[in-house]
Amino acid sequence: MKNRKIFLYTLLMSFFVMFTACDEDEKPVNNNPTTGKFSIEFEHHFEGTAFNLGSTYTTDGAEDVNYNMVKYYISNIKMMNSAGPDFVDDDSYYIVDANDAGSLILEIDKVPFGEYHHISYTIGVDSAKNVSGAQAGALSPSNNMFWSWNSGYIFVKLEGTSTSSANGKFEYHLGGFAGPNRAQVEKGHHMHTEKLNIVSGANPRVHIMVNMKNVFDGMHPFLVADQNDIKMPSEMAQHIAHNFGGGFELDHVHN
Amino acid sequence: MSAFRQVAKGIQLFLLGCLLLLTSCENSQPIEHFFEGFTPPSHFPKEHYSFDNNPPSQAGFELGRKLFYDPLLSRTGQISCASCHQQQANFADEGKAFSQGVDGQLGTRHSPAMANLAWNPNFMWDGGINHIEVMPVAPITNPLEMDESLSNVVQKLKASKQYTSLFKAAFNQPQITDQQLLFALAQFMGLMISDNSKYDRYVNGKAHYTLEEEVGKKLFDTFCTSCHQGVLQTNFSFKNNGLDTVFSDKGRATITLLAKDEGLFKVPSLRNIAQSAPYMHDGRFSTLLEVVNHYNSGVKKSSTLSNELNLEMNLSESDKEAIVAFLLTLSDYTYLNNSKFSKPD
Repeated sequence: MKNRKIFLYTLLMSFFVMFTACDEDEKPVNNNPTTGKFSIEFEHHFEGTAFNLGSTYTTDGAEDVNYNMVKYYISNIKMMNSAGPDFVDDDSYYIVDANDAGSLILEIDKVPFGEYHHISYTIGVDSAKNVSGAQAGALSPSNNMFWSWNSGYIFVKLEGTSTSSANGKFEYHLGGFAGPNRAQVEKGHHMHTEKLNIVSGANPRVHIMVNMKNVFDGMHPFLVADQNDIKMPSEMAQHIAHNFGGGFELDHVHN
Repeated sequence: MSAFRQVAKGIQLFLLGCLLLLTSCENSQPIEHFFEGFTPPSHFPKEHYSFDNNPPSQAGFELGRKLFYDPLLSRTGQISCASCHQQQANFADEGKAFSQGVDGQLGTRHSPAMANLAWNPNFMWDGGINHIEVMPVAPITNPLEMDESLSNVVQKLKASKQYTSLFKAAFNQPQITDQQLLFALAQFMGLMISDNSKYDRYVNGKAHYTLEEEVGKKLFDTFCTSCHQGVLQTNFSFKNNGLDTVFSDKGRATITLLAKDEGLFKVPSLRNIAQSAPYMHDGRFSTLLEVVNHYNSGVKKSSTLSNELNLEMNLSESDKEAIVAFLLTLSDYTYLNNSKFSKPD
């Protein structure tokens, strides 16, 4: 009896497998979309003045600064829905590079229709992805945003020149994925007055302004003369990361 | 009944065969009968790297092996991983305190031996690298070693017809990526298992120690195993083992920036230790006897010195020889001569 049972099960399983194994190509056609898209645009400025790589600006410490690289990770984008469930842009990582116009606008799709009143994101990369080996895409070590000798992502890379610096340069490579010098910066913006409406056929945009003066004059002000080179996690790296993050503000939402 | 059972068994087997045929569809890979994959030795602790996102295959392993021996990874096309990691030296740099990278430049620490890396929670003498898959990024990009960018390596690989087909066979992706490069190297490195030393056979009850080796083992267990623990002879900690009073190389503290970590270096596995001279992070000792002498009477005091080294050893000359005799039992000639890990033809 037992054998007959096993036999029957095996037979049934075989048929089951036969009919389910090779139909990967058939996907249900969705005529009623329930998700839409939006974009986030990052616009850099220096205390309200247009920001350009290669232009010279002056800090509160009366130092001249001229950026030639502004590059950073944005990840963990979340939005609060006024009625339905919150949206999480899972497992998505973006590099924003001031030298690459296309990278300043993040396109995000598969967002459930709805009205969202709060957006949050991380400047940096969560600790899990820092300890999980070789990654692809924006997290590929080929993007030069990864420390090879002290494993971890460089969350923010700011480089430029200043006559206040002993060697004429400043190079701030900011990171630190865990521990007391953790340097991810979590940002959240309320969109109460202009809510983000994800609806069919629309491509709304969240516009975020980034004040590059904050790097030096934020909540932990410092002088380039005192600090021109940071290439690993440290308290100072954390401070500058928070200075930089403090410069991110929601400007407006285009629906 | 038994006849029925046999027929039922036969039908079952037949159906199972059909099942396998039917589930594989047309994109199936040929089944590799001779490739063992990752087979952790039963007397080893739980591995740290279990190839979760990088299942090993014969093609992936062989590709990793080819890459390991290929100087294409360096800027000058002259330095391969194997230039500084030679099999006969337990994949350390035989006889050299510091290794030569591109343009004859010297590195700053002794080339680490490579065996059982799937058990390492971190890499390098300072433990700065946290994952086997990203380990090769350091030597490839280090200006003193291979001085190449990952993206250039990928460009060079893409330009090679042979590599294009080898990557395709290993990963079945339209493009070669740096992730595949690192996955292949991790497959090769992760499958480099050394588990057949006399010590292993002794642990498994398949070999007997000589009297001298027994004495050496007892002394080793008394004085060394608080750090050189278990079948891999390491607890993977970082220790200041009393080499210096002033640290020209701050070791672990270069990663943590903590004063308490100054002068600390990784406790290495002692597997194949007789083959991987010279010893210590800077290769300052040439022989195992020099190493034993250091721990017996040469330990220098400093604020970060490992507590374990406050113990008086008072070894006699024959004790020292016995410890060395025990250390020689850690040599795994199967591993050192295994053609699976040698330069491919």
